[in-house]
Amino acid sequence: MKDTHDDVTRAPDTRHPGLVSRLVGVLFSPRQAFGAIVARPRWLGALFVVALTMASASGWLVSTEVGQQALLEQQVSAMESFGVTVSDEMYDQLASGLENATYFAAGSVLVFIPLVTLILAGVVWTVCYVLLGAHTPFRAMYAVVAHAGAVNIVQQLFVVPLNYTRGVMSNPTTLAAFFPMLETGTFTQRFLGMIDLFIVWQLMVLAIGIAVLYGRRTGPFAATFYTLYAVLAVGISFVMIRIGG
Amino acid sequence: MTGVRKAALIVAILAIGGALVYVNLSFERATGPEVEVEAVERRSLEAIVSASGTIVPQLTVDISADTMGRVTRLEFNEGDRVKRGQFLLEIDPESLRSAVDRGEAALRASRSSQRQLEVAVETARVTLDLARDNLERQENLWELRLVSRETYEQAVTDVALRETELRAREVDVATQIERISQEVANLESARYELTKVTITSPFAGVVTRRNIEAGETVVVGTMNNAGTVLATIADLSVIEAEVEVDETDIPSIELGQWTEVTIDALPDRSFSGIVTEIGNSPIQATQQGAGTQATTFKVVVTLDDEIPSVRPGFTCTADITTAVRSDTLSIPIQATTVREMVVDTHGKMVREESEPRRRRDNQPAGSSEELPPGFSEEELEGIFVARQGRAVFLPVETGIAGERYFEALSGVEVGDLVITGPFSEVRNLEDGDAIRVVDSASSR
Repeated sequence: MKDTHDDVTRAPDTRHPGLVSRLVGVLFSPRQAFGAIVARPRWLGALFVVALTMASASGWLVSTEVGQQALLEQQVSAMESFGVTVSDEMYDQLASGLENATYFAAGSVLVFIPLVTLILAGVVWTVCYVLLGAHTPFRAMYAVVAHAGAVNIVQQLFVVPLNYTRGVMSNPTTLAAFFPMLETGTFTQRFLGMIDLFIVWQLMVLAIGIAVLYGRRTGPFAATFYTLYAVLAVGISFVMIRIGG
Repeated sequence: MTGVRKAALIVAILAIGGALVYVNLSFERATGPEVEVEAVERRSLEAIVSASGTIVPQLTVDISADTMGRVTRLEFNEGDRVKRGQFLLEIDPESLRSAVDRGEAALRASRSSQRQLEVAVETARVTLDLARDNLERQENLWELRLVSRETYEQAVTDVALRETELRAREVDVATQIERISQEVANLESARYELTKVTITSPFAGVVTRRNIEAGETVVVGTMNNAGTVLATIADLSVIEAEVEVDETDIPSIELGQWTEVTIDALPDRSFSGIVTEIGNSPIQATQQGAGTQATTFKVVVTLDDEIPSVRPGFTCTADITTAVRSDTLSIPIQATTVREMVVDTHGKMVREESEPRRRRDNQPAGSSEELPPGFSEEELEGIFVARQGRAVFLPVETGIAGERYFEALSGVEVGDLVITGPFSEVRNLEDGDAIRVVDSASSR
């Protein structure tokens, strides 16, 4: 991304693009789009579209037989990766829970997307307020984070058909997908499996949005996000290796 | 951002997206449980039936007393090697010896009486001759009427009387001869009884048990009371192993089968032998745990060689070789399993489309109602082999069972990687399941 070379935030566009234009703009012209979003922070529509799209995609996949079997296997694999031996009774119990998986998947997305957006916006807003002394309306921060969810829409549209075709629920957009020769369970494989290209994209979009919001350079925000992401990936991978053996 | 850079960015994103789709659909990461494999090889197999039992001599004799009395001489100890006819012990012979003496004396007296009776016969015969001579003279005189009729008839009567007397004496002699025969028989019986006080070894062997001490009184067994067993002598030149074989193994046991016998008391050594006897009646139904019974049959294995240090009663284990195959396809025993599979009208397994996901019992691959006409589900014995990251079920016809391997009559080829473990995974595997083969020493 070359956006980090731009040191000056452009003046807000006097035009007020619609919801679809804002979401598409976040994907293809993030700086301009966030300029408009910051100028007139509206978050409800974006959050609703993002949450609804993700909930629909997740719910549809889990509603299919392929998706349910894939979800079941993912749950089993996850438990086994943490050293849990899945007995037939446990397997049956997990399988019986698939009846309501559609509603649970869609409902949890509808609940967690606004919640996570709120938490993320709150953390970033607080950190920027404390460290940078920047004063911006929280509503604007929430709108930026909510619009960054446009990447999640693309991710769902990309991942759901692919997972349905593969019949698995594992994330196909991580770096581990490029290294199928790596032995499962190794630290390298787990670490690469934690690096999702769509999250990388979303973090960059978020960094641009926050930079626009605070009128600062994108680079430091992006570097901070990527560093935290890498540290988090290393930590989780390490924990999984230790627990999963 | 210029149009060119934006276009390049879009192209890059599309390229990355396309690459993601490609690698996800082209390279499926190995998933599923880790399994161990072992290559199918040609091996020499021996089907062995193992059974435990005890060592026994082929010939064992309990020495008992035939006469009652006190042991006066005892000249053997437990463990002694004895020869055929060797003196072992003597029971007080005095009373029986006296009986013999009495018999001999009675026989002598009878024979003396016989001689007296024979003399009496001779006397009667002479008297008869005299009477006949007298009669002849009296007849001549009577014809000349020189004697009275009374005298003549008295001579006739005298001859008849003498003849009767002679026959009586001859009968006495015959009776005495019979009496002598009886005395002889009694004497022989007494002498035979006397021989019973001396007990000798009936054959060459080893005294495996001695139950008597000098001075003790032995008792003759009767119908209701067992007599005293003085000693046990065993012929250890021919040793047998009497083992109990489970009923399920009995059909494969045949006379003459080679057997390796190990004796617990003689570790690190094994002895060869052959099956010489197979029981036709069960020994007994022994209780094994709650509610289960095991029926066993006695099988006798005669060892080829003498074992100097062996003792009757040693516990032993016999490995009976019931079948031998050389250079035959073999599969690990622990790899064999049974699965319910779909078969066609000819009984051949119909492999369903490979299913990448693990299935459990709660999600059967299909029910018989959904099968095409003529198809059915049957339980097939087979193994799982590893092929391209999948577990593939192969029905296998097995032959004899060796110690670790089954003979594979059909269904596998040399080099097939048979999934051998772990058992928990083999138990749950289904045809087409994804697997990951782990490196193991036995993998090839």
